[in-house]
Amino acid sequence: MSAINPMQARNRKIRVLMAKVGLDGHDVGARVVARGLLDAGMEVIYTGLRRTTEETVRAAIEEDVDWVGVSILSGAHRTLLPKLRRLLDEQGASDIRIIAGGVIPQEDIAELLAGGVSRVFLSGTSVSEIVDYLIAETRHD
Amino acid sequence: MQPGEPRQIARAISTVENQSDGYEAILAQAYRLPRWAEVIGVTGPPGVGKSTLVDALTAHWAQGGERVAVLAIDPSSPYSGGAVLGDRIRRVRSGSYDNTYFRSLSSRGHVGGLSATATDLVAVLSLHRFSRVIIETVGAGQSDIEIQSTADCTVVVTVPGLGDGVQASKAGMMEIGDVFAVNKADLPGADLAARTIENALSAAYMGTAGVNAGASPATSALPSAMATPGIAALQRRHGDIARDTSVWVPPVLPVVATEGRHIAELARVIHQFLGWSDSNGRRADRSRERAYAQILRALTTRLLAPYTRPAGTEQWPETVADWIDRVASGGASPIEAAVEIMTAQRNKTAANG
Repeated sequence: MSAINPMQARNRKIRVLMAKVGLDGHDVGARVVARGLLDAGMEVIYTGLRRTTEETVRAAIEEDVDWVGVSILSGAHRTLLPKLRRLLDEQGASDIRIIAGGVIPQEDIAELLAGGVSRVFLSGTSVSEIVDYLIAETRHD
Repeated sequence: MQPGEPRQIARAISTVENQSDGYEAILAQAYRLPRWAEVIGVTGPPGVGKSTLVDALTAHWAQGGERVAVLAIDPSSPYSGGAVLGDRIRRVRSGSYDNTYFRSLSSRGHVGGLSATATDLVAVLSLHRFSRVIIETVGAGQSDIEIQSTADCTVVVTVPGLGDGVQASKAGMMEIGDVFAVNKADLPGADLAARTIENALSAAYMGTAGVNAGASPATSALPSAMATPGIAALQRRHGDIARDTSVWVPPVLPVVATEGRHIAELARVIHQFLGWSDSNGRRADRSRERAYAQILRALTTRLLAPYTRPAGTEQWPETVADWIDRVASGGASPIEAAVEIMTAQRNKTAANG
């Protein structure tokens, strides 16, 4: 976690909602990533297991996050992620962007990106790669 | 809530928390409100179920149609400045009410159980027509008592089995509660925990839990002058039975937050306290304490600005640079340095003015 967060100098912090959407009950990956983002100076809101997409959208809006990080191991990513994107857009939160990780087959990635997911991190991704991506891509408005 | 309203509220909070463009205008407006939301502080050691209790109270008031907001504060990492904010995990009951709003806050390095902007954010939420704001503090130790001047009513939460009477009578938690809740009261030892708190309270309070009539002929002979500083502070907040016509003795209530048990009773006691402190001007006293703390904070920031190193930089501010090595190498005391630095700054201001 050697990345330096350029926003640390000011009061603005990168805020990330780490969400477990749907039915799978494993959150080790989400916790590891949350820890890594903390170490990079970000504020991570963790909502716990088995949240609906509606709950996740409400949390993202109330918490005014820059990113929603979704960890999915259940195989339901092709339904849940586009739905999450659509609900965020409907609530006027198109600027809140989605990254996804977990068990997602390589061949599904193109479809997810087309469905409004900004980036998919496959298992084996180092946390620092996610940190670097978020720091580079967060809009500083 | 109107469509789009949660987003507006969330944005306003970020603006004030980050001190982004426009935050002073928002605060200028918010601090001109004649009356703010009632602020309920929920504090206590880590793991006693504060988040779950906050969720249950939020649901209780939201069910009655009130607009209820929650500010839940977790500590920031002293190394990275980042934070993992997990209080939202317990937003289970209240999450189904549209008339609620929940915001997780990092303490952002602020010590004392709150975040530096917590009071400002109460003002912002009041501006957005919330009638009640619940603040959940960082899992508090025995010195995180800032909540008592911020909240109109402070609920101290504990659980059975945390410690003996010595723990209960230690300074800190016992001094800041207007109401005490023993959560997880379905566990063994709940009665003992409640009695331990009541015993500790009885050293400082006379009367029965809740509102008591004071200043009767029988009690007016009590020598108030014997009050220790700690007891004097409690008497300023809750009344002195020897002098005031009415005093408050903090009630101790068993609750089971996960099941919502006794939450209505807890809410009733909180209302009773707020009514009591409103009727005798003590809530207004707290507002003045709060105003003083806020003015002091604004003054500190502005007065220290010429000497403060911007966060994340290594450069010494010009105003103090000459003194750093002198003090570090034993050439002057920090007090001597401060006096000289202030004199130099005053001369500079006079020359410019």
